[in-house]
Amino acid sequence: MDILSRITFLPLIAAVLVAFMPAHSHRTIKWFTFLATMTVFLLSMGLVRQFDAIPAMQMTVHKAWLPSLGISYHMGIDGISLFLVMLVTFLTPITVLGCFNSIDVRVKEFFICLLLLETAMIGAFVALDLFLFYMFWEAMLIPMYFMIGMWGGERRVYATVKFFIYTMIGSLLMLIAILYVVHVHKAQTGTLSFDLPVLLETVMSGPQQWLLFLAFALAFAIKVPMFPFHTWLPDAHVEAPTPGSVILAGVLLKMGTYGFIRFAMPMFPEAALRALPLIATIAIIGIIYGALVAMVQKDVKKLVAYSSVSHLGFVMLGLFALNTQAVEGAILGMINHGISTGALFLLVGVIYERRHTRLISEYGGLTKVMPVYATIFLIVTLSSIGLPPLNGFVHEFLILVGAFQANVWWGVLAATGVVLGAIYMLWMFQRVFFGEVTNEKNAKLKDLNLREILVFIPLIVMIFWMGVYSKPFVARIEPSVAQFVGQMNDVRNRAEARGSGAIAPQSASLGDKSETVAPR
Amino acid sequence: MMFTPEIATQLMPLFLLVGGALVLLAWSAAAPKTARAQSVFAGIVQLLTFGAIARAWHTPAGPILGGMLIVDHFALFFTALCMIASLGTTLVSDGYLRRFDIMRGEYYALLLLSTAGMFVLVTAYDLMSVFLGIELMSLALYVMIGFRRRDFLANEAAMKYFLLGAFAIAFFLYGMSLVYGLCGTLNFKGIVLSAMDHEYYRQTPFLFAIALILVGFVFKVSAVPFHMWVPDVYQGAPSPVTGFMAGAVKAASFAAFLRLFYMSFFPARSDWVGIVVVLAVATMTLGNVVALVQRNLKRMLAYSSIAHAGYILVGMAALSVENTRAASGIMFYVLVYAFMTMGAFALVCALENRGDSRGLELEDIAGLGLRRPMIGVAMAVFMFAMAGIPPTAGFFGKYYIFNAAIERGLTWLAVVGVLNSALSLYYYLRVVVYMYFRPAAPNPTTVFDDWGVRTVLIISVLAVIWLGLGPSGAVPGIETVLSWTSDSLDHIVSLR
Repeated sequence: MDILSRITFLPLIAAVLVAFMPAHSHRTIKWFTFLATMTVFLLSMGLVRQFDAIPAMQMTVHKAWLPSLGISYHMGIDGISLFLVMLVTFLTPITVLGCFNSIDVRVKEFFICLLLLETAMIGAFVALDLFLFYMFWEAMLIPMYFMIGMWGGERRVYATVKFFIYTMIGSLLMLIAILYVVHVHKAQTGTLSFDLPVLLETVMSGPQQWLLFLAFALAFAIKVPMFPFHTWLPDAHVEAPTPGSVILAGVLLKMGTYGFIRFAMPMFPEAALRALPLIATIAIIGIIYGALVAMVQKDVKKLVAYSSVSHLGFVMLGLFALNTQAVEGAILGMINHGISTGALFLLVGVIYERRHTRLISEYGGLTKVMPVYATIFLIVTLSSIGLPPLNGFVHEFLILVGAFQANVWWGVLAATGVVLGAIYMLWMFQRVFFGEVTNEKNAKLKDLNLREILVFIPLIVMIFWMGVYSKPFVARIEPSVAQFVGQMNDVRNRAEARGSGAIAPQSASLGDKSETVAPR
Repeated sequence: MMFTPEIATQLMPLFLLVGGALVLLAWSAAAPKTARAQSVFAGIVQLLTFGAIARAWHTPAGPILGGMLIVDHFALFFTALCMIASLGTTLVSDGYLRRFDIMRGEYYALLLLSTAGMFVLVTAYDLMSVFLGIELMSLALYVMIGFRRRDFLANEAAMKYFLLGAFAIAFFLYGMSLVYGLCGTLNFKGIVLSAMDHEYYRQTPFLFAIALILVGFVFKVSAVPFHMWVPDVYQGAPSPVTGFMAGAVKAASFAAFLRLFYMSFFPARSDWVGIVVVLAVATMTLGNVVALVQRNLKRMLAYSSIAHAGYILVGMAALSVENTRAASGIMFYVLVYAFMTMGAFALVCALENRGDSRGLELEDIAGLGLRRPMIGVAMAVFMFAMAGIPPTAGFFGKYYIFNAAIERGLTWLAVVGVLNSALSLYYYLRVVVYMYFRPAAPNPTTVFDDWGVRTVLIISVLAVIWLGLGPSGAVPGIETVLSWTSDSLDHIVSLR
């Protein structure tokens, strides 16, 4: 078996094994899951080692799956997906270790869900066949649905059903769009295929591209989530158990941004360019709106959830600024957000485990009681607001540079988001940690124990590493990004060179071709 | 007309079913207290029928009995499907009937007779055989629906199904008589030849006949606007019978519907497709919207069954001569739906108990998933499959149908379809919500899962998952099934 399949399906195998373990042996199940996810992580280190910094799909697997339907088992990674896969394999064992204490009912089912989720997430990042991608994409929903619904807070049922239906509506329209592209392609070339590289060659008329892009964009925008499709996110986050939030914010949201750069934009470049001002505007609204709403939250977790809306607005802006710096920044941003926000949710989980409340007003002066916790929280907070030399700075800087190049106003407006981000995070930090211990219940809180510190060490290491020396990451990401940006700019230049008058005859001829698809 | 050994082989399933039914009738008259043994006998007859189907598979297909029937792969596919549902019904019935104290031998005789009617219906090559098949299938069902004869709802259900069924079949007969008056024949092939000769396909009387026949089928497949009977009948009938109706009756009716419209009425497609599209949209939407507010599990499944008929009608609208993909999608969907619904109703059977007249409500399954993990997983699989979530076979069923619709240029219809699936998520998920996320009731319902129910559940779960993911190999996977369906459809197209 090849390395990608091994990494993808190892958690699935582990999940099956867990299913056969006795339900009451909690420790065994927890340790087994931890070891399994660690193994996946160690295996995935092989990806980084074998990866060449060239703009091509690597470690590809291409096998027949359902050949008569044009569906193949096609996987591979490039600079864009490499670190996202790493993010999954890195965050999962940390999550497992982080929830050793917080999950104590129905432990077996929980870890089965988590392992299934890992398989689906990795699969979605490495799939290069649209059908395969869709399968993994949908497969992510079910474990997450159960995670929120079974181990969540009070309004968990509402939150999880909302999450499921929101995501599903987008995905179903995307499915129709996928099928449509496949048929257009079949009408043009005679081959039935769901293979992404093959479908990229499909020629489509302007209106066709526009509608298909919208269908894809809707699915991904809901997942990101972009304003105004973000309302499921705070609900889901607040109700989800800590590990659910970590995975949701850390990885699942990146599926949306990843979908844009991997599928929606390359497949429909002209439509993407046409939608560019719209999406950039929405992204900027998301940045500022997310930050403003985060500022007034009383619940720490909700605050972090809204900060995600803001941060992912940055990522989207970076993707659509369409220059190398910005797109690189966007990819780094996805990874950094995964690490920082994952860490933040874990930190909130720690305090929630001790006090069973997340309200900011319940706390104050924690620095005196929990110095280690406060230090780690401070580092993560600073990373989240993008202070140099921590990781957040790198991607925010790159995205802002790119945004200024693309359009000065984007840069200016996005920069206000950075300022607002610093305000809400630091204000929250101040209220929770500084001052006197006002609430007696906090006076005897225990600081982090060894296991908890072990959970945060890798995260802190990554925060510093990616902030101080991001070259190993950038070097691997850059070739693929440069290729992507080059292709998008080619399309733009061609369109500009032709001018608006010259496009018409070509799209008309494309329209003729597409006529063959339509029935008589 | 020669009655060759080949014809005997082809009709063997029918002989077995009818013979078995007659034996059971005599037996139940002679020894009424042996219903258990009779269920075993019925099961054996059903298993033998599978053997007969396998033998008939390799005989050369062609119209037999003077063009009344045709035992081709298409027919055998649906026969096998109905037999699976029928066998599943036998398996879950025993425990259920005893619990409700309605165990009578005739039950199994009627089951076999109804299945025999389905055989006639799916092999029909003549409108008269379609009529005979529908009647044989339904007459037995009228009795089975009212089997809980002291129960008010059951009586209402039987009466309703009987009256409305008779009414709908009258439309069908009227359409038939018009066709006969015009074409001078009721044979599927004969209709095509005659209608082509006289250019009936463009004339109002013939189109009127098609519309009337459509009414009959729309009633039988439980599509809007002839769906009113569905919830009441599904609720009132004994649950094994409801499962049988949802799985097999719908499948057999769609088989005849598909064959007739794909063969004889296809040249007039441009005239009837508009109606079918409207029916499909109305059926999907009504089924799903009304299912949203149902709290009774059987009624919810009844509306969901209406909605599924709507999805299949999308496939009917997308039929095409160039390729058989839409028809193939319908066959696959019907197969998958039979498994999903068989499993779901097996669970309903296991959960229903006698004391409670209000039926099975959502509250009754609260906490079920945690109390009985395996039962919970099975139900969750069926719900996710009905909602069409990958990697279950339910997803693939929808996928083929919508795929065919897009290929046929009915993209908007596919969009309506997927939006409906999104809508349906809510009520399918609600079952899962109740099973897993709600605390159990203080005195939870007992689950009567005897080995029959368990067998049905295991087979259904495996089928629903395997038909979704399984590559072809020793066990027929999705591609094998699709190659069967497209081969059998090629044969139908070649007859046209």
